[in-house]
Amino acid sequence: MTHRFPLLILSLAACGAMSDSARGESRWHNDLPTAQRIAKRDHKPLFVVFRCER
Amino acid sequence: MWDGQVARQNPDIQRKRSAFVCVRITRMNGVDVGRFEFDLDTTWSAFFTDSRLNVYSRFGGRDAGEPEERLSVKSLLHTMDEVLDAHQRRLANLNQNRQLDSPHDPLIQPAPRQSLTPQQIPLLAQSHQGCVHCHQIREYQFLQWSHDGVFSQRKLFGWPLPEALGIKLDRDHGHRIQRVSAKSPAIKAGLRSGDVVERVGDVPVRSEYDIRWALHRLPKQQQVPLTVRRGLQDGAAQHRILLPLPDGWRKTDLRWRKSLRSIPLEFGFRGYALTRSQLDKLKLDRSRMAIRVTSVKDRGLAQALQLHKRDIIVRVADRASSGPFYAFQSDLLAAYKPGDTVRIQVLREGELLTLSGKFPNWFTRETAVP
Repeated sequence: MTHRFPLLILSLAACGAMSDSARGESRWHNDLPTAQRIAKRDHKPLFVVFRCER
Repeated sequence: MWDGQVARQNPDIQRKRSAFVCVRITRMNGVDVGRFEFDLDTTWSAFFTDSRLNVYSRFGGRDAGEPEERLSVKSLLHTMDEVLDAHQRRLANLNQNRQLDSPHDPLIQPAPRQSLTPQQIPLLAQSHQGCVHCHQIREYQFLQWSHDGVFSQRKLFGWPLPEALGIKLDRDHGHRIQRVSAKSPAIKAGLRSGDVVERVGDVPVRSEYDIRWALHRLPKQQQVPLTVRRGLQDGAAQHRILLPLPDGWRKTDLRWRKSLRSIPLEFGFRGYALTRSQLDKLKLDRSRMAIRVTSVKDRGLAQALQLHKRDIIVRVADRASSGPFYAFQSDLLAAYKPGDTVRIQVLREGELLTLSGKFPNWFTRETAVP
């Protein structure tokens, strides 16, 4: 019983993570070096958006 | 809103994004705007690169019309497909032990001519703290070039429009020609509707913004070589065409640009565009420009032209343009440079006068951008 609540949270988090993936989406990173490392590892090109809010 | 469509809302873009590693940057501090060169007056621009930031394509751009008029989901998806194709071809080359980073790799855009972060602009580093907006970088460049004595009219007019050469592109494709204007340089060079522009000079093209960047970075020259694909997919052939560049082809309407406020020119006067009812009262054409001068200082352009308070400017450079004060500024800057004789027409106490005087040297007292 004592484990039910944390386990529920974990499973919801996992569902959330999977739903993005199931939709075929990729998350938006906010720093270029991390994205570059992932792009190199996964052999993917980068899509870099510059959004300037005024 | 375009940004929301790309970031999350459009399902086709979301699906396509899974083939990329996506990055969204909202602070320009530390960004190399030499490598990521885009029109700094826009609020949204995108790049497609490899993991070493070699650029496949750039996407974005606007003109004096509606801010998002030149953007389309279909053309973005098209560009994404072309980038993925180029990336796969480069990976295949890598697997065959060919050099991936060759400076002459025809699949990637030429390397940046210089690296430049906003903090490397001395006046920005000295005067600006906190988040740097894109347009502020351009404004600080204006101030810095002026203080360094290297400002020129040409620096005002970046990101030329293909329309200036007689080319109207298919907005849902990006780099396929929809229409070629009669008597234009494009039609004289032999371009046709349906041609797909594949290269401009040494720049591989996968979007309209690529064409604009290729034109933007051209040194002074009389013509530019284009490679176009003509014909149906299977029977298409490449054609190389030399496109002549006519006088004034770089000049575009500046009125929408936030950076216009930091141009190093001493107007020496303030004014506003008359409303329709004010134009009616003065029996002036509603569709034309009329700028009422509200204050004058004894310097700059106002001094050179001997402008008076309450003058109404109705023509500049023999053109009766229309629109707000920014439109007047844009027309003036397109028509004249330091040393030229400026001609304007004003209404002064009901009398139409022609004023002329020397366009002043580029100058500003400002060292900071608001």
